[in-house]
Parts: sequence; structure tokens; C-alpha cells
Amino acid sequence: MVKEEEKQFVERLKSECPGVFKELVDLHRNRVLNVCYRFLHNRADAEDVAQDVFVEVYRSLPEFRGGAQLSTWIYRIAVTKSLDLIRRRNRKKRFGIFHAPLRMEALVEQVPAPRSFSPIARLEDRERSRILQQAVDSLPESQKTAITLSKYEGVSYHEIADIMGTTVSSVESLIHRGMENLRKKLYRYYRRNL
Amino acid sequence: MKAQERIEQEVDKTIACFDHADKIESDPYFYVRVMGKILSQERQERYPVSWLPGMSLLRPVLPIAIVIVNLVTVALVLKSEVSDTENRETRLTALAEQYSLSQDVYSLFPIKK
Repeated sequence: MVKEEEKQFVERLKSECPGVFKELVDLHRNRVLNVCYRFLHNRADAEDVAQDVFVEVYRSLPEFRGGAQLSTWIYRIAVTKSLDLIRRRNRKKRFGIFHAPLRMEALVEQVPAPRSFSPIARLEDRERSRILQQAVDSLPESQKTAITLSKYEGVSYHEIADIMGTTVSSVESLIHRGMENLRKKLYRYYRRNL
Repeated sequence: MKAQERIEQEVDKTIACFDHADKIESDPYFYVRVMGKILSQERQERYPVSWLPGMSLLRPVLPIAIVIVNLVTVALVLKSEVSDTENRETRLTALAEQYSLSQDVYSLFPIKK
């Protein structure tokens, strides 16, 4: 959306024109849902969080000053809400009596090695996707966020910087370090399991 | 060396999975559900459960009030039983006098005290 167009759209949103909020939801719901899904890996949780994102958008619209793009603001809420849910769950696991402290690092190591690679390429891909997803989960939060938005969702570095409230150069550095870490983790995993 | 190459290849293939990750589509009732959440939150804010002022103060008072009401009820019941016994005695005496009942017959209905 062009800046002027977006400004008008936000004005219409704020003045509660009928159907404008629906337009906004329809425009962003799939991308918001996928962003949440990349962090949560569970469709039901992602749907729930994505709905909460739009509830928050609806309620906070009067405070939206237009400093950032509307889409950037929405994705920032999506990332924050997804990470909040993960943090809450991790905290619960950490303090649960019967749960041993569970670190994402450990998850990667827990992935059972495939006994033999299936001849079906799709199954192989699914397995690799699962391993990759767990390796991404085990990265530090900022690297994980930057890599998820950039590699899975194709968000530009500039927009990631706005979403994460940082600079483009630090996003570049986060992604570079993140990819290096990811390679190391995957290398260790395959060395142990191939 | 061969093993290392194989590992490298596998790492590359795994990283390439970024490019063909599955996308999911939202529920067709997504917007309806969002609006449902918004309305229910607005309703909750408009009519919160503790809408009466001092509702939280009333909570501990309620069981005490129930105990007091029970004690008063028991006291009233006991009092009415005592006065019932007195009335019964007076009525029996009047009845005995009215029908000139002998002491023997009268004693057949001893008054319990």
C-alpha cells in the first residue's frame, strides 16, 4: 500500500467505517497466521494468537500514530504475542514439578535419527523441515525472530528492523550469526545421527 | 572425508527447506471469531462480575450473616416452644373445669414440663 493510501485507510479504520476492519483482517490474516505458526508450530495455537493479534489491533487503533507501516505494526504485535506465549509455556515447564527443565537446545538433540532415509523425497523433506524447525527454535530469541521473519516469511530486512525495533545492520548481523549457529547445530546433529 | 561431504550436503538440503516451507490458510470464520472476542471483551468491561461497589467486602460478611440468621431462628423456635407448653397447660385446666373432669381423668393427661 502506498503511504498516502495507507494513511487514508488508517483514517477510515479509526473512524470505524463499516467493513474497513474486515478489509484489514482479510488483507493480513494469512500472513499473521503464518508468522504465529512459524513460532508456535501448532495450528490451533497460531489461530488463537492470530485472533488475539487482531483484537489488540482493534483496541489499540486509536493509539496508532502511523510512525511505522500498518503491516509492520501488526506483525510486531504478532511476533510479541507468539514469543509471549512461548515464554509463558517455558516458564510453566521450568516450574512444573514433574517437568525437567526443558531447553530448546535439548530438543534438537532429542530428535530421533531416522533409521534409514525413506525413498520418498517428500517424507525426507518433511523430516528435514522438522529438524530445521527445531534447530531454529533452539537459537537465541532475537536470531530466531529475525531468521523466522526473513527466511520463512520473506520479510525485508528493513521491515524486520521496524518490527524488532532495531537497525537494519543489526538485523543483518543477527541473521548472519543465526545462520552460522544453525549450520553448526545441524552439522552436530547430522554428525551424530547420519 | 566422504562422511563430512555427506553431512554438508544434508545440512544444505535441510537449510533449503526454508524455501518450500508449508503455508497454512486461516479458518473461514476467522473474522467472525475475532469479532466475537472483541465483543465478549467489551461486554466484560461494561458489565464486570463485581459491578456492585464493595462487592469484595461483602464476601466475608455473607457467611457471618447466615450464622446469625440461623442462631436467631433457633432462639425464636425455642421460645415459641416454651410459650406453647404454657398455653397447653392453661387450655387443659380450662377444659377440665368446663367439663367437670375428675382429678383421675385429668391425671390421665399429665402435663409435661
